[in-house]
Formats: sequence, C-alpha cells, structure tokens
Amino acid sequence: MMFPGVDLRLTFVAIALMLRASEASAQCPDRTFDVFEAQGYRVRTVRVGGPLIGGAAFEELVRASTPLKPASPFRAAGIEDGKAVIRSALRNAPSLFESPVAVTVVTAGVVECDETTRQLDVLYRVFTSKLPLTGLGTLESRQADADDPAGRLALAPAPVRFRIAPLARYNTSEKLVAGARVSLKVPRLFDRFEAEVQASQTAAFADAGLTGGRTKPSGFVRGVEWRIAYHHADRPSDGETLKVRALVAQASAVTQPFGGAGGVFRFASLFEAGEQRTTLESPDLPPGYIARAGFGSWKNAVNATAGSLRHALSASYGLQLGLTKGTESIDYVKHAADVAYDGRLTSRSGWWAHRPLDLMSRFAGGRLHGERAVPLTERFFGGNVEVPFMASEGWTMRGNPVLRSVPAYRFDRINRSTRGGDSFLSLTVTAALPLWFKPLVPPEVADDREIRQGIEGQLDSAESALETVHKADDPAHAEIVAKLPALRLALTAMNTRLSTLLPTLPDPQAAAAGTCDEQIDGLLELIANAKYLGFLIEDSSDEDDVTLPSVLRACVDQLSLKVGDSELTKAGQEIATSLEFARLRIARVDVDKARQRAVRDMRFPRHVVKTVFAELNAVSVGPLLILDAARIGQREPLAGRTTRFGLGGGVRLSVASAFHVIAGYVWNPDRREDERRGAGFARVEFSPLFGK
Amino acid sequence: MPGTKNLKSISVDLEVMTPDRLTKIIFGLDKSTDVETVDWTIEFQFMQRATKTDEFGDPLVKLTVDVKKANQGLAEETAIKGLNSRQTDHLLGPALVAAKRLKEGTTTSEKAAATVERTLAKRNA
Repeated sequence: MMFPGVDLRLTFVAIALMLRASEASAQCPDRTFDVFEAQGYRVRTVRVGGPLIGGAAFEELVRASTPLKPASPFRAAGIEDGKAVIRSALRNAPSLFESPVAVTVVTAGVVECDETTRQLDVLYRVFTSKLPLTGLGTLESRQADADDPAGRLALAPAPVRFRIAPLARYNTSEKLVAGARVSLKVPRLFDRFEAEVQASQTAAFADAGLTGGRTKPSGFVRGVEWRIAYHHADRPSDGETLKVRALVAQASAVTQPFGGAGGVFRFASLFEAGEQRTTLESPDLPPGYIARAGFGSWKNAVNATAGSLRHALSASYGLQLGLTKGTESIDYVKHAADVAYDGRLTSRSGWWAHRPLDLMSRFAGGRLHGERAVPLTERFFGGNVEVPFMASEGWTMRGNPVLRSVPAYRFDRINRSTRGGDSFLSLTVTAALPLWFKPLVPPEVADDREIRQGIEGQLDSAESALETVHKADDPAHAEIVAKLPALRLALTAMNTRLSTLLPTLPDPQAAAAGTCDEQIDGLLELIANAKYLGFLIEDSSDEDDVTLPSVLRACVDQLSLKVGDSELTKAGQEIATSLEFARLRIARVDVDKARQRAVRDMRFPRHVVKTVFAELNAVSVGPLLILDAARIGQREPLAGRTTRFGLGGGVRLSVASAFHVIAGYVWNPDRREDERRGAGFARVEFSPLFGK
Repeated sequence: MPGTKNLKSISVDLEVMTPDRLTKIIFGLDKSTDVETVDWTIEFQFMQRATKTDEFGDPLVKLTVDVKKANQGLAEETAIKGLNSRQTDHLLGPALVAAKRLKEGTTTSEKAAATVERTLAKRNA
C-alpha cells in the first residue's frame, strides 16, 4: 500500500526533523549528478520528504525500484529513475475525492556530501495536492480541515475501506470512558457502516448504523446524506441513569454556497422510535412526566452557516414532535436553537506565525412543552458533556445546557423535588493558543524560494486550467459551438469538391489540395472534440498547427484562388464567415469573469496550501481558557430557575494534527452547598489511526 | 534547492479533468541535467472512462516528448511559473484532440507530440 495511514500520520514529526537536520548539514558542491558518479561517490541514505507525505513508504519504493541503495555506487540515472518512480506513484495514488485539478512538484538532489569517504545522501522533495475546490464552510468542516489536513489535500490513504479511531475521556459523572469509532466501507445505497461504542463503569453509549451520501458540483442542493442507525445511551445523572434505546432514520441536505461569505443552508429530518427510561419512582417525577415509555419522535432542523476561511458563524433551529402513550396525537414538543462562532486569529509572520488563537463559542437554548406522558429523559440535564439535539457527526447542535464546572448531567436541580429543566440557556466560550510549537514544515523548507515558487507556479497552472474551463462555459463560446454545424458543412463541402477536382488538377495544385485536405481533416477533428475553441481564430504557429486562418491559407489562398472553381470559392467564403463569427464571439467571451471564477475556485486550495506551510504544527502545547454560563428553568406549578457559571483553564497538547490531549479544571464560583467546587476534565482525541 | 545551488532535477505535473469528469489529461515537465546538457521532457497522458464512477485506469495515450532546444527556455519558465491560460487553452483544445486522434489512429505519434510540445510555444503567442 502506497500511503499507509499509520506512516502518514506518525512520520510527520520524523519528516520535519529529518528535513531540519538535512538543512543544517554540510552541503554538496554545485555539480551535476554525473560528476558525482564519475568521482566514485556511494549512496549513504535515500530520503523523501515533503509536507504531509508518507516519506518512509516512498523511500522503500525508491530503494526497491532503482539502484539507489545504501552503500551502492551513486548513479546519475538512478536518481532520475527514483524521481520517475515517485511521480508515477503520486499519479496513481487514489484520493478521497476527485479533484478537477491536481498539481505535483518533485525535486531530486544530493545533500551532505562527505568528500573524504566519497558518500552522499539523496534527497527527494515532494509537494503534491489533489485539491478540493471548495470547502463546505460549515463549522464542522473547518474542524475537519484542522484535524485531517492530509485528507483535505487528498493525500490520505483512499478510498478508505476501514478506519478505527480510539476514544477516551474522563469526567466525574461518567468516570473513565473508553471506546472506539469504527468506519467500514460498504457498497451500493449506503457508503459506510459506522459504529461508535464507549463505556465506563457508570455510562454506556453505542451508535451503529449505515450512512450514505452523494455530492454534486452544481445545482441548489450540493449534498445529501442518509443514515439508519441504532442508538443506545446510558447517562448517569444525579442518583439515577437516563436510558435511551432507539432506532433512528435521518436524511439531511446542504445547499450551494451563497454570497461572498460562501454561506450554506442545511436541512435535516429524523425519525426515531424506541424506549426511554429512568429508575426514578413516580412520586419523584414532575407533574406530566413518566419514568419510562415507548416513544416515537420526529425532529426537523435547519441551519445557516456563513463565514470566511478563518471565521464561521452558524445558526440552527430544531423542532421535535414526540409521541408516547398519551392520548394526544402529539404528547410533547421540544424546541432547540443554537448560535455558534468559531474563529482563528493568526498571522503568517512574526510572533503569531504558527500560534493561531482559536476561539470557539456557542450560545444555545431549548424549551420542552408537554402536559402528559413526557419521558423524563427528554428534560434538560446539564453538565460538562454535550448531548446533541440531532444525532449527526457532521452537524453539531446542542440539546442540553453545557456547563463545564459541573460533572456531566448533574446540573439538574432547580429545587429539591424537580429533576432536570424544561427550558435551558447555555453559553460556552473557549480560547486556545499554542505557546510552544514545532512547525510541520520546517522554516528552511517553507521559506525556500524555489520550492515556494514551484508550488505557486503549479497552483497558477491549475487556475489557468480552470479559467479555460470557465471560458468554455461562456454564452459567447456557446454561440460558436452552436454555429459549428455550419462550419462543418462548409469544410465537408470543400473536401468533397476537392475529391472531385483532384484528378483534373496539375501537380502543384494537387499538392496544395493535399495540404488543404489534411488541414480540413484536422480541423474537423478539432471542432468535434475540443473543449475550448479559442484556438480557432489564432494564427498557426507552424505548418502542422491547424486553425481557421491556417485552413483559409491552405485552402483559399493557396488553392481556391488559383483553381477558380465556384463551389470551392463558395465554401471558402463560408469558412471565412465562420472565422469572422468566431473572432467576434471569442472577443466577447468574458475573460475577466472566467478568471474571477477560477481565482474563486482556487481560493480554498491556496488557503489550504498556505495553512500547511505557515500554520500547521507537528507538535504544539498551549493553554486553554474556558468561560461558561448556563441556566435551567421550570414552568408552573414548580416554577423556578437556576443559573451557574464556569471559569477555568487547561492545557492542550497536539501532535501531528492527529493526536490531542486536553485536560483542565473549571471552577463553579457560585455553587450551592451540595454542589462541588468544580469539575476536572481530560480528553484524548485521535484522528483516525488505522485505516486501509 | 539547498545543497545543489540550482535545480538539477525537477518534475512538475498538472492533472486536469474535463467538466464532464470523463476525460483526464496529465501534462508533465521533467528536467534532468548532466555536465554537458540540460534536458527537458514533456510527458502527456490521456485517460478516459465510460462513467463518472469508473476508475480511469491506464492511460489510453502516453506521449513522451523531448523538448527542442528552442523551447527549453519556455519549458523552464513554465515549470517555475506554471502554465498560463493561453497554454491551458491549447492543452484543452488541440493537445487534447491530438491525443484522441492518436488513440483512434488518425494521426501519428510524431504529429501528436509536436502538437503537445506546441503548448510551450503558446506561452508567448
């Protein structure tokens, strides 16, 4: 396998350190490779490096496919062979998505020459990118960009058949929760089987189901997703456990981006049916609530997200209609609303380079209505774990008050007899700043003028290619395409007439007829297959170059005018008319608009590339600052409300953008006597580690 | 390039898929240097598939073109600065069609190669 996931993830640091080491070492004299070969140098090491490249796999490939092996004589042809092997492997590497454009730069060089022992190191530098043209612009996709830059650049191993990601967290209510997320590719209607299982001595969570989705590059709706799943949750509250088991069916859609901020709208609808229960006895329940019930519910949600590449603002609203064993057609109604802002303040130079200040904030609220037979578990139980309103990995919408100074699900006491709330408000703010870091791409490489220039050049290539594609979409170009049948008729008429006249033509004119015939055949093929017809009006650069002017020159100037045949003359006039028509229309193609579209298309890929070079860290450590406020409330007859705050901090350690350790403590400054002083938390997050 | 003062060996590849996602072309430039000469090579590949969900598979046409001395400066400039829109116009027009014609046997590999190499000359056309 070309890009083993483990290698890709875990060699980031090694690559970075390797590149740094190589830059600091003695350099080789400025000679061509054949000179080193003639001087009898031997290979000491073969290394392949570059941002987000699994160098070890390539090194193995080069050693296996070329004479470049440690201790072997250095061969100039071998170093070129190695470059070809890397290039070919990158071309054939499958990606997570199909990129309309992809750019690759491979350089080969020799470094660290030892003149005494006649040894040298071979170093290949690789930059490749199979680029998605647009980000979805949702908060969740921004997080995915940060967590999985290799995936966003389509460098991850793909198509991914399975992935396993371990999960672990600790909090006072749930204790140490451990588990894993598994994803397995399946064929047909559903794309993947996904399961997430986590358990501790007090809590258990399991979600397993089939997920499918489709995206398309145009139209109002750009993506749809569907999912059927089994959901199981045991949430330990204050003395009892809130249990939910349900079958879930969900569909969601995301629209095209709108406006300069690339805003998108999302819609989701979810049906679920199952059982909710607690161990609470009836006398302890608020009026209208039941401890256990079979239930069915229908949730609908809408979301709008807008923002730039560094800032995103998102607003969601959800409505749930619930049915239990009550006599009403709808036994309870739940509303949830959520506004979130995520931002990254950074600079690509000075102290702030590689020290992005991440700001994450979310304000949410909810209300539950119901007079009879409402499951207690539907009430709002707060604490330092979020309960999503909709079960969707790609769409975060808060369904409970998050208060990180209180253990999970234990922010539930409005008064002594009421558990949970029928309304809530919740504000959370988190700021994180890496203070110490090692860049993913070492500054010596990131600042190398030639490497940067090569990459920029290829991004420009991609932009030019997109400009051509967009010019072909222009209405003026479409008019030329619409007129092609007339041009084809004129060319065919001239060809047919030439065939008739050929036996009667003297030698010089017969030779000219042959040239004309070749030009016409070439042009007929071109207009039948070319994606962009701008070449039609250009002057030919040599005798084999076929354009309308070259056809007119070969068939009219060199032949028709000399033969004086009326049918040839007529066909020639029609071809000349077509040339004039094409000239006028090509002049009207809105090149600026096509260029602007291409620039817009490439904005996201350029941003991703710049981020990789200027912001991503192989290792970083920094503080977290946390500020929370939350309130739960209850209507009559047990009316009341409770508000609490959380103020704290922690530390975040990130390794290779794939492994994060987050730990901290949040104080509860306005606590009741029976409440804790605060709550500690620890979380280990992995991006997928194992996958094929 | 640290250690080599100037780039002795570099390759750049641009892969472009047509809007119908059924055709893909790869335009690659490769530089190699020895004590006497600098060689530039264009590698051009043409791939097609029946449906958007198929794999592209092996290229239907694979052309390797040794760049003429007269075009070597343009090759260097293109490798460093990227293709400009005149060049990509040619790539998605005549070069694409030349590859199709070669596949169908209606042109020779020499003529197709000349059409592909003309991509360099279009830079300043």
